[in-house]
Amino acid sequence: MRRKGPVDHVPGSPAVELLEASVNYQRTVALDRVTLHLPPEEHAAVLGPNGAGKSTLLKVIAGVVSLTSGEVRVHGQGPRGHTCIAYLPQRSAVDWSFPITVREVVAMGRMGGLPPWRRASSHDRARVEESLAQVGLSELADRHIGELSGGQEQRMFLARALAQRAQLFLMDEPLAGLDVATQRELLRLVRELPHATVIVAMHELGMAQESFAQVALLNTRVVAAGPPQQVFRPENLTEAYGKALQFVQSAEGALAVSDSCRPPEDANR
Amino acid sequence: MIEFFVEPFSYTFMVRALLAAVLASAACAVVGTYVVLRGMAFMGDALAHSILPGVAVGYLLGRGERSIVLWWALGTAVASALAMGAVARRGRLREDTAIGIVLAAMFALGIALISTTRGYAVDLTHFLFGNVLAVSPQDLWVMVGLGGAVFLTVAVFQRELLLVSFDPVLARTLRLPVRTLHNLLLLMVAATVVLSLQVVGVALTLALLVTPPATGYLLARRVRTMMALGVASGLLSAVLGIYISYHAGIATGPAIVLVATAMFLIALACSPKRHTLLPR
Repeated sequence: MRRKGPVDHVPGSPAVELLEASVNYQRTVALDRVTLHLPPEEHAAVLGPNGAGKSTLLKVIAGVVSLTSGEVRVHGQGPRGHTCIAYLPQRSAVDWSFPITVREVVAMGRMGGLPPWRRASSHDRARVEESLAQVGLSELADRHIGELSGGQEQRMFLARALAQRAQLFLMDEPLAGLDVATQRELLRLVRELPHATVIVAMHELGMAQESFAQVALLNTRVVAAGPPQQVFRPENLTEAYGKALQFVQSAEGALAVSDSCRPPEDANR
Repeated sequence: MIEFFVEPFSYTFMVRALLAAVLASAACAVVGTYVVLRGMAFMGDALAHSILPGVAVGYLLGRGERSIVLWWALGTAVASALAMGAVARRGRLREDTAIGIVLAAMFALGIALISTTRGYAVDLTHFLFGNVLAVSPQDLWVMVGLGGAVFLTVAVFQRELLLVSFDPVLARTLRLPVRTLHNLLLLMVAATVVLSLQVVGVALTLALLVTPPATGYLLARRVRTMMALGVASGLLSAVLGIYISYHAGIATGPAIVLVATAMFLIALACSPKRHTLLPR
């Protein structure tokens, strides 16, 4: 079984670069001429209503979904040659009753570029334990994945990405279903990732504002991108979310209230 | 008492029947583990049914030379798997629709071919429900070859198969050959379907492929344990089924399947994760 070796990163190129990137599924448009840049080691949040193409965007960058037109580059090359990209799945996309332990899931991160007949080396195993420790899951390593709490689930996938030695972390709605304290804790862990470029798809406007220097509002096309103060303006939010969003005037200024951001739990199981 | 266990195997055809049943059920449980985990039960059933025309052609062409039937069956299973993929892609149909179309077409073609022979009903029954007592030494050798190939392939690719079953997106970002692995799995399903042809027949192959691994699934927390329990349950079903068949005069294939089902029901009753089968 032939595997392409990982491609080289072009020095000085953005970590992620999308140029007029479009994706059509049959007759529906999932992404419409999206142009975005993200320098290495920067962290950004992508927000938008359900069906805005957040997952598609991350999968395009991961090289899992093909573009209908336009271009995508990761560190100056097409995404398909990289093994440094980690896509952390949405919780609803995971089969939590699959017979597998936390350690086994994390160990999967070590499987890139390994020929099938080669067993995991002691280096691989050490890397797995190290990654588990880094996210604080060492104690739970032998648990079945169905026994984890929401925050632990996300940390498991983070550990898998660490075991993979990923440099680009694509997190698909990691905050969904978590309470605010757990959300903050997870985002703190993400901020502390060494030398990582991170893109987080999320629904939580407030959390994005407080935790990210760069945000993008997506509704199949990019409505606005940049620092949160510039992006989260009523006209942009209305354009991205449409009628799902209402504004309330309060003493501190305008509050945006959205009522259909969070996907129904387990909707696409 | 000893008589009860020993007597059946004073006939060499019974020994061959036992070996064939054991081989088929073990191989089915190993491959079936992935079939269950990936939700491919319908695909497995379709491949089992779609080998009928191959069986018929092999049977019509090679009267006397019986093990040629198995090779025809294998070829047909592979062709059907390819056809299902092609129909789904070309027609932009849902995969289960494409599988259903190919299943029905191949099954009809098989019955049409067999209906041209005299003694049609008897022959058809053998193919549909198996005839493990008629396994020839040559058949057994073909089965050993196919079974060995399946065990070896799973031993080599178990980590890759686990990865693509649990998280195909990760498999693709790690740049594993996902399509090739899927085709490899289909090939192994085809091989096990052929293995079970004479043991439980086309109509009941799905039971060997799905029921013992499902028993393992209910009791295991890891895929390896699931597979081991599935194989154990499959082997026990084969052996008990043959005894029951011999002493009670029941057809062997159904006896094996009913034992496997009984074991599944017992596992269901004591499963620690029974809740996963019930709505939350």
